[in-house]
Amino acid sequence: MNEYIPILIFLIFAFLLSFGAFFFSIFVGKKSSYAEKNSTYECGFEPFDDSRGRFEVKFYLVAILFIIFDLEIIFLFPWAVAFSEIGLFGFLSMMFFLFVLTIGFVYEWMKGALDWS
Amino acid sequence: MIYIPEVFMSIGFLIILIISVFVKKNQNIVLGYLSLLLIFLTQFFVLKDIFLFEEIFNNFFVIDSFGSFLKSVILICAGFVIYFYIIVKNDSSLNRSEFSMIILISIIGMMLMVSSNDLLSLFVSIELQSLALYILVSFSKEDFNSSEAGVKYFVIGSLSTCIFLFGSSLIYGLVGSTNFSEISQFMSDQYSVPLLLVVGLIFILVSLSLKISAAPFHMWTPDVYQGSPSLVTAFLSTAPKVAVFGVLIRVLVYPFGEIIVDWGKILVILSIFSMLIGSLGALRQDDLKRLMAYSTINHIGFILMGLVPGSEDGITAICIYLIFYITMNLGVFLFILNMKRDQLNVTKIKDLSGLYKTEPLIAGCLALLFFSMAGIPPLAGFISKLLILNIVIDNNLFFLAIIAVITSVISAFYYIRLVKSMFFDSPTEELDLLTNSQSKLLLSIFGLFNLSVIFYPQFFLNLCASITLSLFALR
Repeated sequence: MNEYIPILIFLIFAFLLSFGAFFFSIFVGKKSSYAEKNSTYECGFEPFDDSRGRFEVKFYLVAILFIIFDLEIIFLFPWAVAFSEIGLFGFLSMMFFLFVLTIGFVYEWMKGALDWS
Repeated sequence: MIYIPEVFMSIGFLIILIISVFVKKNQNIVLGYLSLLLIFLTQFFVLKDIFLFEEIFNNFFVIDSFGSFLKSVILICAGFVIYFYIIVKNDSSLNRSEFSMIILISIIGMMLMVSSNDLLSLFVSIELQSLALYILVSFSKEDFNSSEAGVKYFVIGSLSTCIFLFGSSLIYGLVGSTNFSEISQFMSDQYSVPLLLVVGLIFILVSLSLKISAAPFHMWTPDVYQGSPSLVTAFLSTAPKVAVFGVLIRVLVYPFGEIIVDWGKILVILSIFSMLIGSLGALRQDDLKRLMAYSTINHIGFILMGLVPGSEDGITAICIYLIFYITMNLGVFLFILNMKRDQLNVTKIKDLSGLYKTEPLIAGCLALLFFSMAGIPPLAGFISKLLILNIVIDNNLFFLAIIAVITSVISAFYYIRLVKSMFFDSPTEELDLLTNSQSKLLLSIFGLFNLSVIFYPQFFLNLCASITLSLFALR
């Protein structure tokens, strides 16, 4: 239990510091508001348009498909580094994993998920 | 070692996935039949090794008769649901090739769930199962209710996931391992069990109660059952319940068997709440699917009661209850699937009125199923309720037994109300019913099964008792 005490002290201190700074500025700081100050601030410009713009649902599809191959890369790197030690079993395991991913890829290709129009 | 049914099923699924791209005509029907074939073959695989005991994948999974039995029950549920999908004319939104394949993915998850022997593998398989179910619930994209149900189910499901992870992290922090055998070892070595471990177990219990919709964690059930397509509701109320009950029994009895005093009380509270809410909530419903949701909650309460003593015969009774519950539920949902007027699905209770005049056979079978759900002798539901009550009274839990009897009298009221409206009310508008003879035949088989179980209850008792034995052989 003893080794956790510094963390507790840290938590208490962080809590006090952040809340202290917050409330101190509310009670002590000088307040003056005018129209310019209350308006939206965006890098010194007038804001161009609403940031909650819509974009096409196809982008989501591409993003989801990207994640799969992103994860594949994450698996491939440590596999490649440790390749000399894991032998044939490691090689075949990764090949099987890639094979399963390829089936998914073929499926989405044939279903036309990759066609933009 | 790796020739387990799950691996076979996953590879079969990949093959079906590839085939699905090349099927041009009647995609959903062809793929439905292929999935049915795969389920049959896997069923064979499961039954072949039903008496095998083996720890596989570095003790991450365990193959035993209890798990194999539940796998076979899950496969039967899924097989019936896919068969319903083939024989009943569905909405056009369900006629897509992915439907039966997503059911396949979710049952792979469920089969892994009931055989997992480690909190990590359990978590991953629960996720696999739930992700597939989220898709199924929101399958009718055009239907507003289906999407709403999907969002609700997703939010509740992710909450349950978080709680499960938190609980298992607490247990891992205390035990130093997520493996069930090592947790069990830790428990028996300990002089007094640390309180935080109990807290971790409570978190896991809450998460699993959210999945089986035991009250007070039931709020999502009526909405999701009503909103999702009827076929999905049929699946949702059978297979996942069996799987989660398998997990619940395995987790509570095997690694946490030592602290039965702690989780026994929680289960008592859960089952009392479920029975009360399940019976009282259904009284004023006018939608059949919503009523079935409350009836499910009521049954879940009853089943949980059998787990309270944590004994062998209690779990035997649970297995029997699950089998009968599935036949009743699938039968009723097969009827709901066929309830149509002018090609549109209707699910109101008043649409049932006067069914006896137009379709006497169907009305008779349906009445049998409802009576069986109410637990009226000599039907299957009566036998299962009797077994559970027997266990409860044997363990001197009299107040629990009294509450169970009172709530089942209350719930008998709404089942009998349905039967009354079928037989004695005058028909309002006629349903265009059961145009296909297969549904008629299947419904009569479900009804007859519930009627005839009284002649051979010993078969189920012996089967389930020998299955349960394997669970206790571990300790």
